[in-house]
Amino acid sequence: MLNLHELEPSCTTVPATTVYLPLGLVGLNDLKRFELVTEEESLPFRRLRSLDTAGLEFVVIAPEGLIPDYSAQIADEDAELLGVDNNENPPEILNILTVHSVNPQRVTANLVAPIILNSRTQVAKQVILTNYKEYSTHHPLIDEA
Amino acid sequence: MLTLSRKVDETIRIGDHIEIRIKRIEGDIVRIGIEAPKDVPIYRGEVYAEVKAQNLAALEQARQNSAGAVLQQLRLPTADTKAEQKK
Repeated sequence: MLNLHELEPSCTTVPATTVYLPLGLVGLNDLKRFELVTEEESLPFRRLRSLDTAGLEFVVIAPEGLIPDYSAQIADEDAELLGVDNNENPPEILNILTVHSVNPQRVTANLVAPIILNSRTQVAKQVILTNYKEYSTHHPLIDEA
Repeated sequence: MLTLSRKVDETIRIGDHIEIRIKRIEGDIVRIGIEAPKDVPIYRGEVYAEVKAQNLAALEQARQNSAGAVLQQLRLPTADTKAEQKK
């Protein structure tokens, strides 16, 4: 008799977690289900891969330690919607990167509208920060040019 | 485009669930209150346009460069590489 539990991969080579964005991304509201792929050798870069449309993916990073003085402030309504706060349920923050060129490396980060993720519920939203005026949608992260 | 004239404290309803209220007018600045269901995101037009364009650019560049391959190559500049670049 088949044991269903045995069919589930006990250990995947590429750890991935599902991330749900009920409202989609800004301007792309059909993209609601993603997989956050973390490959050890690629950190701090990670991939957010669409589960709705094959071949669509973003390169993302967590800003901690990489973007000095980044203070992401979100509206109370967004915090409430996601069930996150500053204390017991801090969100995970992911900034979408645009890889303009690989050689020389030129990469910018969208600091205006990060993806705010409640890693407990796996629900996320791309939020425009209330202090968005302090930041750029194309902040230079790597610029070898 | 439908164009309506409204005074301060007058409202506009869009469908059954969205209400827009003119709160204050000072010179060329209008303060507007919006009540909408939680699943209706509200954006300033120019910020929406810029974030959407950046999302599309990020998707397109990840597709062109094949994000999986790119990830192996990207390196954040460290103190060492910065020094090397200066040589």
